[in-house]
Amino acid sequence: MNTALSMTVPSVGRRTWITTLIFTAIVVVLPFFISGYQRTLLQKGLLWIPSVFGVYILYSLLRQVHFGQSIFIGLGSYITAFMAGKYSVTNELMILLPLALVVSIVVAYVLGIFIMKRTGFYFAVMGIAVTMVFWSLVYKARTITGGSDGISHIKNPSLFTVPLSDMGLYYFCLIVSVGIIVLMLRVLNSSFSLQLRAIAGDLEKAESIGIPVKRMQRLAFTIAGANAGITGVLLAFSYNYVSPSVFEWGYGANFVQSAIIGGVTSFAGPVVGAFGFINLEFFISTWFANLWEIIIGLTIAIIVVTVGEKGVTGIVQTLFSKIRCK
Amino acid sequence: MAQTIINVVPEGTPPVGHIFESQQMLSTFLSYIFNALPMVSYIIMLSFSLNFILYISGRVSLTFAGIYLVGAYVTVSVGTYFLGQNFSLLSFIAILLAVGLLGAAISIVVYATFERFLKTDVHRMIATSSLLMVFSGIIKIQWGTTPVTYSAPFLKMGISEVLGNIVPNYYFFMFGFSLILMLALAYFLFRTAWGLRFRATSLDGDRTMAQVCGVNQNIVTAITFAISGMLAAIAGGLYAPIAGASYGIEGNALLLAALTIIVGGVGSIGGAVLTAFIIGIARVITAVEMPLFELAIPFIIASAVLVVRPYGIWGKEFKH
Repeated sequence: MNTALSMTVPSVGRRTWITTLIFTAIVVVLPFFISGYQRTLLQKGLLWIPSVFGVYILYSLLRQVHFGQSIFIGLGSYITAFMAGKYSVTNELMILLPLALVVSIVVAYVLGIFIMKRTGFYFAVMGIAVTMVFWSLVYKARTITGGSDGISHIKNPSLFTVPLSDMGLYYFCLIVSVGIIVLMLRVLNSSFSLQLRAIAGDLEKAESIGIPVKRMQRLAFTIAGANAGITGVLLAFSYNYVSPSVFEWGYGANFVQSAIIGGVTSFAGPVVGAFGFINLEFFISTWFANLWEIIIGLTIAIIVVTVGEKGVTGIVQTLFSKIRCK
Repeated sequence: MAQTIINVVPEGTPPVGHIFESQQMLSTFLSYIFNALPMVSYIIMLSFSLNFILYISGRVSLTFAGIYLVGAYVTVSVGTYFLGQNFSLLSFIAILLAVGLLGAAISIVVYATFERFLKTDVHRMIATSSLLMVFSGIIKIQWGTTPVTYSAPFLKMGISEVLGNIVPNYYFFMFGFSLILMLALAYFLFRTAWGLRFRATSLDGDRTMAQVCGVNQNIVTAITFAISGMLAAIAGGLYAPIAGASYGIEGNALLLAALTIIVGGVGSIGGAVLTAFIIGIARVITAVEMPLFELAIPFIIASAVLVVRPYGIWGKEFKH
């Protein structure tokens, strides 16, 4: 069990940092060569990365499926919608981002007490349950949240009181998501991640050598939630519109599916997964508008059956290692 | 002005006293229970559909929610096509049984062609939740996203007055039907030779030992999936005349079934029935008193149970 785990959890080397740098350079330069619509797709992909990283941490280190990322994305989005849209309090990113961060950390910590009581199937289901509860609350509290109509006319964001253009927002999203990627690389390379791996390997043994199991699990859940909260704020600004569909459990499942497409054996997994999922969604919904749920569902199902959680990056890795051996 | 208001009360009316109030409260409470009957039977069948696979074969499968969706839509279509506004109880039961068989067939096919190859619980959860997307995609192509209704059984069965409450007969039919199914299942599990084989491979038994004694694991698991699919499809069919079938109802089914397992524990038929009553009645009461929290109340109950008894009120600790 332990050997299998240590094989699936990657280690951060110099190559990872170089890959991150190359990736950053590409997304910095790319907007100058593509159309505005393609840029919004790219921006969406960039914004998905933090949330997918949350799923990735829980999956690769703790072996738990986190269907509830939509809770925190929804919280972040609705905070933005209230503050910058409905009540027009502020559209300052430097206020909204920390606010969403604090709210999602508090909510994640409190929920973690209940949700992390049991792991496996029960954890996954409680994630679905919580997001459905939020969905129903937002859907029914029509006077406050606008019900199924959602909240539109969210003002454009400003950074240090300077209003951001679309391009400016893109670069801000880029900075945030690259910053989170670097932060997550640090987290995954820390003793914290080792402790989580020990918990996933054998919970009782980990407890007996003095790892605070419950606290560590809750901390991992909180990190995932904080990532998604930040994503939520920026997603609301990029769409200028928020509806209860951000709380749907299918939306939370999309992040798990992205993580699976990308694979959880490599750090590039969440990045590849986020962009892969967004592109798949885009192309399928333009070419076969009716079939997109079926195709995405079948793709994920087939990936899980054939390569398990290795995903695209895992396949590429095995191909490379085969080429190198020959 | 005050005079007229006093005169409204007719003479000879008994004073509103303690007994009258408690009678009224009893009547209100009974009306909650009667109104909760459809929800209770819905929860019993769906939760046991999930519970059965989890308990007997130790596998997690969320496909039952997709089969529930198919069951609801097929019942609506077949009922409207064959019966229309005419209604006879026997033909409706025949439709339900046919839908149950369809659900069993879908479940077995999905198991044999796909779910059999999944190795860990994590994989099963992700893959079957993706299959739910496939199911709802197929539903979307065939029936569109507008809700469809078939309320003839509900309307044609009439109403009856029980202890001062007017209750549609369909509620009793639905509850009775699901209760008979659960009793049949309990009889099968605890009184027949095949049931013994099922219990031997379950989480309570010893799978390796059962295999050594000659129990064919594959057949047992396949039948488990078939029964689960049947329950889910019949649940969809039974609930469709009340609520109709609409796009996206599988999330609700999944949620209630799973929360019931958290409260009731894995593998207990009695626990599932009692939890269904608790959650169903709590949901009806909140739907009347504070509709905002209708979906939140099952979750709150489940969280409270998780804190007090992490393995469910009637559950045992299983490692699977």
